[in-house]
Amino acid sequence: MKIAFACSGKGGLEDQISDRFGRCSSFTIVEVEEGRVKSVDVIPNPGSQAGSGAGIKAIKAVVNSGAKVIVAGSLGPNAMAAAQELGIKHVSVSGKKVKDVLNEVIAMLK
Amino acid sequence: MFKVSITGGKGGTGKSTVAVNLAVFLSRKIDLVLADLDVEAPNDHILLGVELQNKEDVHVMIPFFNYKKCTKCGICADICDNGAIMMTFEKLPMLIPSLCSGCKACMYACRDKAIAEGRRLVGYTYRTEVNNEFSLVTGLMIEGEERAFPLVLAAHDRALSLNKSLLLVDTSAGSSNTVSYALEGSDLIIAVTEPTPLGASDLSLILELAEKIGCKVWVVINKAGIGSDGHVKEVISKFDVDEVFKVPYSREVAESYVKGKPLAILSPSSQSCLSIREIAEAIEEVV
Amino acid sequence: MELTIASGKGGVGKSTVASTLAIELHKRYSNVVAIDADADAPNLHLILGVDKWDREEAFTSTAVAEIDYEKCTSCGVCKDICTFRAIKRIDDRYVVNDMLCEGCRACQFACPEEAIKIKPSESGLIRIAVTKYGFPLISAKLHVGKANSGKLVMREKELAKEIGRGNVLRIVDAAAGIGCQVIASLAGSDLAILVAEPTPASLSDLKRIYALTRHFMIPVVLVINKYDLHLEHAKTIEEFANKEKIEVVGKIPYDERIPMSMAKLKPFIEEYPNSETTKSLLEIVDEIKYIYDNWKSWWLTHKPKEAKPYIPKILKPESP
Repeated sequence: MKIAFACSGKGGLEDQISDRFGRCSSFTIVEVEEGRVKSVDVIPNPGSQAGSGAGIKAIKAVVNSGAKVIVAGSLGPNAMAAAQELGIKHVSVSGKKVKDVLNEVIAMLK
Repeated sequence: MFKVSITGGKGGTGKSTVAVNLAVFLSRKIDLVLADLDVEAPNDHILLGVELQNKEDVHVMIPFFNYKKCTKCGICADICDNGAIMMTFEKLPMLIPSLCSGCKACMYACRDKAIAEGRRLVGYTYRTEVNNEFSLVTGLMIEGEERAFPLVLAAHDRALSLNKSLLLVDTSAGSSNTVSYALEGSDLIIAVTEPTPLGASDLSLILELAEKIGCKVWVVINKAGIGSDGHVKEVISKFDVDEVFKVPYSREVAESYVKGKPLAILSPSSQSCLSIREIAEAIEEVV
Repeated sequence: MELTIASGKGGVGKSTVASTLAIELHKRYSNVVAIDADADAPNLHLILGVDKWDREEAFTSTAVAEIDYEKCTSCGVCKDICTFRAIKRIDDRYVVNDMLCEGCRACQFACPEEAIKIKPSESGLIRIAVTKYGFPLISAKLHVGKANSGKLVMREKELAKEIGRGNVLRIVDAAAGIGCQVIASLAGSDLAILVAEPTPASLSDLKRIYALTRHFMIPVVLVINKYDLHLEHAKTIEEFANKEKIEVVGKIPYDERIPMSMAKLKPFIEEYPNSETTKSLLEIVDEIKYIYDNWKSWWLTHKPKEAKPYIPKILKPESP
């Protein structure tokens, strides 16, 4: 299972989770197998440079990465509607670093 | 149908004030329709103090995917200009309605005939009778929609369908393709400007557009007196402008705006009003 | 941080407020980048006294259709299906109007002879200059008759991020209206400064632009310009602001000298520094400085509680 963490900076486990999904700087994609972290990848967010439709660009990047869970403060209306239709789950977290909530999120998704 | 379009480039120059008062004057002698094509922020009905009536929906086509016929080739998502089609995890196409412009490129590109036409509501047109003197057709875009074009098209079509002798068009500000479409087929374009470098700058864009369309142009210098007309006159000299009119700046115009009554009714003997009347008379001669 | 000045209605004083804020905030914080997001009728460069550009960039994100007349059989299908009415019959030929064509490619796919190609098209120019006040201005000019788009505004914002150093304060002067270029002006913005005048038309347009800010969940403050033109209408606007919990950060009196100073290409605060009008403009600047200095806490108390997203109304196709 892959989880996409919306990040405020350059991504990675040390980065801050972004309050807003559509225009966050990057996504940290964590692949989890049997409750353990298998790989960590960082991809840029094409929505960070977009006008309206940023949320959709961000969702597309998430779909391309194969992640079915998004961890971010909140999703805008377009992204929320698309996520629902695609069956992508949203876990709301704000003010924390990726590594701080990683285990909690993995446990939540079992 | 004779078509006179009132446009202006810069917002706030008084385009709508001129358009509305011209409609009041001209309707006394000619059967006419005023089309308010400033669909993002239409104001003519407010200046005239009338409530919009005879509402009709305006739709834009959106694709509906038939997953039974879809072969998951992905062409539709690839060619969509606006990125409105995205592929799900199962590689099926999914539409983001708010990004769709209704161009139907995906429908024509699909080789499996897997796309049917649905619709999305983007706004409304209205037809309001103003004091039984003339018809006002208004286009109104729903807030949140991005594109004015389908509304301009629908409102313009509705105005044409009334088959009056004269069509007066009040365009939006700017010089983009929505203005260009509103101006198409005009017999006369009236460019409203103000005697400032800002007005002159935007006037030159409108005159350039009018030249590209190949239409006769008159210029109205509104709020005359607040600055020197030097800049505007210089711009006018670079283009083929048939006539130039001036409407003086006055508190009465600002007041008519504020009171929701056209100048022609509120203060018919004011200098500003008489100037607009002069323009109306010139138009009558040409029609 | 990004501040966007918008109004819905044209001519209410957006550029007056935007230019005043850019000049005064730069004096204090030295990090302003001004963006004129009205590519249809750009004005900010004139008010700020810019007469030459340091850098220009063509905007080519658009395309137009081109008919290959050697393959074309004049069947007219392209004209029939074009939703932008961009193809016309002139004499016995079908011709693409490259002002109306948006390059959607529908005709390319519909053409039975495969006679239509799409070629990239330049729709405008983006230009940058450093103003005499020390901050850069990013401006855009759409080629006449071309389709405006949010993409142009987004490119301007991208450039602002590139040329700004460190903590840039972007001041965006939006176009009139509520279409795609205004939507792009608001997208990603931190604070919307709405400007209204006491007329029924302005209130009507204010409500429409306000609805957009609700879609984006952006906090809003309001400036009432020419407020003493009609005190009753001004009161109606204030009542609307109170009901929606929008803070009124300033009221500027009706001053005929504002358009006159614009006519002289001088910011009003420079031309008439001791006037009541300048005082009211500087009060607005002070309010914005307060918000900027206390952003985190101000945002917590003023952010919109719930989004009112725009949800399009869709109709399914009729079943066969």
